[in-house]
Amino acid sequence: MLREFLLAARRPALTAVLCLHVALVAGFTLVWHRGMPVLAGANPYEQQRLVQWIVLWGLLPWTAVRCAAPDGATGLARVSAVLAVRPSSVVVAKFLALSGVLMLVGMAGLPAVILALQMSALPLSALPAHLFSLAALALLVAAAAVASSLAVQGRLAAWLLAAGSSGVVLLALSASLPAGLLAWLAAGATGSAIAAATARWSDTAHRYCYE
Amino acid sequence: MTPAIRASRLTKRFGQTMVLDDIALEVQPGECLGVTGTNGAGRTTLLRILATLSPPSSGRLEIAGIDAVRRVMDARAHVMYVGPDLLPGDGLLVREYLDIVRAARPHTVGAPLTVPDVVARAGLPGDAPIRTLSSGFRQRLALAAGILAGTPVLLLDDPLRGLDQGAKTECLGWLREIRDGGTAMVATFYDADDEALLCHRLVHMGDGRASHQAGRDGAEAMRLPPRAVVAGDG
Repeated sequence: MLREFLLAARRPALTAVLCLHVALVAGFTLVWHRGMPVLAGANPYEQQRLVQWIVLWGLLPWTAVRCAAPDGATGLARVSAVLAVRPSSVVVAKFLALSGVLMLVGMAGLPAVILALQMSALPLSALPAHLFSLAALALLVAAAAVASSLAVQGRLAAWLLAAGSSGVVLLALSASLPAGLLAWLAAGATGSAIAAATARWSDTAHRYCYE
Repeated sequence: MTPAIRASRLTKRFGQTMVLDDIALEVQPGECLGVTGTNGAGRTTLLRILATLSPPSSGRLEIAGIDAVRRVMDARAHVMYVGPDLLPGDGLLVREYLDIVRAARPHTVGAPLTVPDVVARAGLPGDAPIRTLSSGFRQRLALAAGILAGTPVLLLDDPLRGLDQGAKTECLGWLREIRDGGTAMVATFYDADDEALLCHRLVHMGDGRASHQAGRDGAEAMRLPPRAVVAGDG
């Protein structure tokens, strides 16, 4: 896991994404919310939250695919061989490390979120729920990115697949569950289940480097 | 004594092409077996199978007494492969990579080594990013990681490739120490002189088959049971 986290944290792409996320969310909050209401009747926090989810839905899969160790399917078996660990352990390590990195990206926007809460005269007690939803989104996207990186070749394809699949899951959950903590809990659980299934599959599919 | 490696009737087929045909070999702890042959003879394929990186098409393989075909992951813990393209550390520093290998691989043969000792002995720049290393230093790092792992079986696919003469001499001396400490080795070398300095006996690969050659120091006679290395007679 240390390897995965170090490799992800050192990617220049991570810095770029952090800056972009902060700039978009803070920019919307500070500049655009007065003149360009996204949701009629919604307060600045609700508008900003919607913008942030859209931004994160695009950025997080790209960050995950770009920052993950570029092992690919063959590399997974290679890491397994050098470190004598099961491919599933490598997959789980990737999932946890990427979840942490994505959570970091999400939390970079917290100052702007706090600002929006204050502008909307909402209490800071809404913040834990916001953090919970960020964590759930990070788990779901990390799992989708790890699975996509193993399923298809090339970062572009992996990004599109990860973004598409996590988007479908979010839409399905929002359609079937009432909005709120329960939906996010289900999103996090779905991400963990995808990661577990990918790990289990990798133990047989990625046992060998060369067939 | 349980052989470190015991293989029998090993075959490897890629489509219609038979790359390895009825290979049998046995390597004892503390012994080094050299594998010779021309390009495309199947040396690397054989090493990859012994390293559990590639499955055999048929046959039996035991690493440290463990069935390496059925219990791949258990066998993998006892073997380390030093070869091209097997350095999953780009993005890490040299010392970080070795720390990770050291933590993942409990040393089981000989005296445990520390990362600083290995870095110093291999002459590696410990704080350099791996991606900035020259091919010679990458080779040294792969070898250092292989030795640091301290596994009972060390598989060396041209381990001295790209090294200057001084580094070659140092690495060969190091490998001899590891071998004499009880590590079994199977090695391929580009240079036959290097082979002579490390290997007790040789197997020549040709047309996917292995034939026993005389060892450089006569050690093979006492180590090998008759026909232990079979030249495709099955």
